[in-house]
Amino acid sequence: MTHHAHSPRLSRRAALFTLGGSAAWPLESALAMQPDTGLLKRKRLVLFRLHGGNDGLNTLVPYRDPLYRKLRPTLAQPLDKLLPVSDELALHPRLTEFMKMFQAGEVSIVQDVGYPDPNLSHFESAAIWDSGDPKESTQPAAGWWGKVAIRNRAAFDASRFDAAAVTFDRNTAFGSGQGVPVLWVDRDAVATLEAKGAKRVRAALASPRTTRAIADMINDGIDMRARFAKRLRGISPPEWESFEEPFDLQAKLTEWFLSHGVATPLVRVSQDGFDTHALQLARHDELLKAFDSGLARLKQGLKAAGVWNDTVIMVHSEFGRRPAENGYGGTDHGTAGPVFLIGGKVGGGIHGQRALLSDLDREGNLKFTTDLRAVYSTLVTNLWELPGNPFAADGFAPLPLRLV
Amino acid sequence: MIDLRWISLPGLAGARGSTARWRCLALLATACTAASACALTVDEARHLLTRTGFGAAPHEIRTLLPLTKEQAVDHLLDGLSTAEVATAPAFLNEPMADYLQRLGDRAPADLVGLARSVTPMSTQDTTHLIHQGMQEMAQLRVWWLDQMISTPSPMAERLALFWHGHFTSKYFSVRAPRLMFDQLQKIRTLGSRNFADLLAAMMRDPAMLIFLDNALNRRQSPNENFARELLELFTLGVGNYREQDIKEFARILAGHSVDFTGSWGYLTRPQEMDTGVKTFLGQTGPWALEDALRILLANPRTARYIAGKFHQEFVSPKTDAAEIDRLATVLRNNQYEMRPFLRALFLGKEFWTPANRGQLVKSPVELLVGLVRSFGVASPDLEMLNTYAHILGQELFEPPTVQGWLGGMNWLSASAIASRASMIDAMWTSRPAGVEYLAAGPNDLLVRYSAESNGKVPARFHVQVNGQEAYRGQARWPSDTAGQGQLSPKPAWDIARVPRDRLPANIETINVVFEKPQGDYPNMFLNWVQVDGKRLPAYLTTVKFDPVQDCSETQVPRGMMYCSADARFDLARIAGAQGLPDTTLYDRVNGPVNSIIESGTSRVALAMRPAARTREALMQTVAAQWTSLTGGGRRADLLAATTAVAPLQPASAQPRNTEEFLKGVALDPTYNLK
Repeated sequence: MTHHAHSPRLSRRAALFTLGGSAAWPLESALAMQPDTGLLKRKRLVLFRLHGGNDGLNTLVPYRDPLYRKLRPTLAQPLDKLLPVSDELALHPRLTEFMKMFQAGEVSIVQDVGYPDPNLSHFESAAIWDSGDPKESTQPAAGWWGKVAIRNRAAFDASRFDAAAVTFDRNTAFGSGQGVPVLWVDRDAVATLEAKGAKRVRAALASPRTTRAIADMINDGIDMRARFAKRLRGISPPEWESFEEPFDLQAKLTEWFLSHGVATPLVRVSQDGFDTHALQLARHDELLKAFDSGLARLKQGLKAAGVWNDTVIMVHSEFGRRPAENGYGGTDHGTAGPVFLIGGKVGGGIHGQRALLSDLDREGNLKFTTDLRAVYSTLVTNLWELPGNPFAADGFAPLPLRLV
Repeated sequence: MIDLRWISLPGLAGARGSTARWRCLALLATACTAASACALTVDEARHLLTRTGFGAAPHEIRTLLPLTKEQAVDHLLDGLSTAEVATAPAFLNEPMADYLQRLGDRAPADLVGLARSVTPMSTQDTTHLIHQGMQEMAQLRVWWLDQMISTPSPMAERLALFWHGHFTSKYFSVRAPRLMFDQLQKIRTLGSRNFADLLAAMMRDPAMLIFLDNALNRRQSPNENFARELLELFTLGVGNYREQDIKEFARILAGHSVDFTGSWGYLTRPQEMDTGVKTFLGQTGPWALEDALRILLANPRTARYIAGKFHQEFVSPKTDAAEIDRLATVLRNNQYEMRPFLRALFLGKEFWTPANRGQLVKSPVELLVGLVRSFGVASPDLEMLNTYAHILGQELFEPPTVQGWLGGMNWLSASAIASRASMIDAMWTSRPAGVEYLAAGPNDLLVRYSAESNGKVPARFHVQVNGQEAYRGQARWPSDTAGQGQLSPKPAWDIARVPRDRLPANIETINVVFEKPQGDYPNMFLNWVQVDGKRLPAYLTTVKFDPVQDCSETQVPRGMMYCSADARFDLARIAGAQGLPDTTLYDRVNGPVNSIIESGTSRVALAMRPAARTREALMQTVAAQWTSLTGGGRRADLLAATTAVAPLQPASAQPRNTEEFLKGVALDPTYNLK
């Protein structure tokens, strides 16, 4: 049931967003030398999380593998409906727009990405993807993007971003880190950009840690809002419909931010609902249909903003699902799944290795073939060409993928 | 005029506390460092109350002041009671709706289509059922909030709130309000008594069995969801079991289900149960549910996990392994009785050290209920409290994930802090309307409305009864959406009242007429009218808009007036109509900021009105108590009695009275800490 936004008067304006944020923006570096910012100012990532554990096996299907149909007597996708992308692999029938992007060479598929000692808990596994550290999922020192920002602080300083990342997810863990400002945009709360009368506060030295943290939040929030206000002054926010798919709204807002020159190297979006324990066939079908049209909408927005050739969309999920179907037409939590890297200048193709259905782990799950840290490493070096790559330093070399 | 000498360290003993302390020193040669030797200070009393309940009212503080720490903790534990103060939700008295249709694929496939509803429901009926469920949940949430506010034993409801976030179930998945009520009642009663009993009850709770798919868990096709979450989130915690234990536990739980075609109570289905031998947490046998319960409770990790959660929620965000072990031992050694465990928890050293003040963050429900309890800032419409809590991220019965609400600093961000303050501000502002509402006679004509303006032109309107003008006025507290933006999406409601005896005996029509000059502002939003004890939501009106200004967009919910308009209630037509759809309900839940029609409150308020009178009387007493507690109100005493840490934003002007001071404290960002 949809109804349109009310007629365009200021009092009922749509895009309603509240500006939340974290941490401080460090003072500009006093270095006399211009730091190496690589392509940080030009290139950007749209980090696209599918919440719940997307079933990779029915998204990117090993259609010629007889074990696929054996393990999934009711869930296996019918052969004639699949969209082949190679001799071995095919896309789910609903991914028609995505298929067009693949055929245009705009999609790099990395097969079966995961990490050692797979964690089958949503929260833990999602936290591992956010932190980039399988050993330190709960309360890590920093998120993976936070680590990148801290390692390349001079470059980030010199780039004078409005925020280190903009996220539509309530969870900002991926970007957490000392002095890394992440803007959280929430469609349900409302604030005008220029919050009048917001005064900075000062916490006494003897105050508890929580008070000082609050004072920092308030002050940094004020500073960040001021930056965005300056950027977007005089520009009307986009209209939206109250029953718009949440992801479509995120795509719309992404386009709006970027087309008005908001300076940020990372935007995070997400789609919910992929935890298909039961009756997966119909549910997953709908989810992928929504994903496909959402992705097309996102691409359209990025093109309209003129940044399609400078943007990579990274589609991923906190884990895949178990190859064997369960007794209720669904699948249980799994391990590895594909990562899609999509963009105007991405060198297409299928990369990495397919995890074998004949060699499952003790739980009956896929054994990952590419570590998620290698994917992050690839972004740092191949997308932004940053001098500091914390993942490479830990032994995860960038993959041979073209991203720019 | 209160004494405003500023003392920078809060928590210095107020007058009473310091007298007691000096008396102690005189009597005992040793300094008053022994935890149990001396009476509580004002700051300590407030600390104990706020950590164990919802805020601290003056009479609550006063009761604890003569007591030592141990006596105070015992006093609160002795008083633990879940006796119901609020009137039970009205929907419980009505026949249960056809929940099976709503469950869809969460119900066992063989049942859907049997017995209850053979024919599939029409879209309209399904929509109506959804709306009915939402209204029932509104009643349930309001009932529990009322209970939290009005109970003489806030600790019992605070414990229930904790367990509600531990043993989680989402209404969105369960879709049967009655089951959510039943689950809550178990949590409220057993949660204060014994963890083992509570766990046993939750393992058989219908709402839980549906939420975590155990109603689909059969020997023939196991479903692991319930087993996994029981181990990971409800008992042992991550890392203390193997994946194989989940599979075996799922086998033990198979066949434990719900009586979908009868009472909707717990039911076992023998043909689906797995009577074979299982190896669960290292023990092998033909285990059934009772055995699994026994094995889990015998495992020391369970007590440690629960103790750890309590420590984080009530004592400190920092893990203290030794202390948690100590508490776990108490829990286990007392067969999981809550009282000795809570006693040990609240008498631990770390709980009382001054450095601990302000280390925890109030959840949205704690903040809002605490505001009402502490300062008497009541609202007759508790649905508003639920709306605020929802916006702040804590809608009761809808935890974001089965993990519950993460809590702590996760509640706060720059925008969350601003939203909290603006909601508190709105509650203070609309308090007089609440007072007036409750002074109204049961048959008086009431018109509930709000408005937005740009501060330049007032929102004027008049009310006609049977075509004659009965009231003329203007909105007192319109939202300044043009100027301030909308950190608080819901503006302050106001009530216009006309005593019944000024109205004709037989009322046929009521018109609410909004008079708006040219321009974008002001705008008026009608929620409902009430007369002769019957409440009529805005969606029952027919509306004529000014032909010149013409804002007749059909998609705007009825009652929202963006130009001059005449909204008319035709009582005879309304009485004759059957089952009108509540189209505005969707809007309330999902709509943008200006969508503030809350027709769902119509059923809510009639049920709770008698309780509201009692509650408001109590609140007025609370408000009057503040000055007498502190005997003239030294600022240091007022601070110690109201907040855990020094305010970040000292009021720019000197507060003229206690109420202004309290409001300043409540609006400060540090009010979010406890």
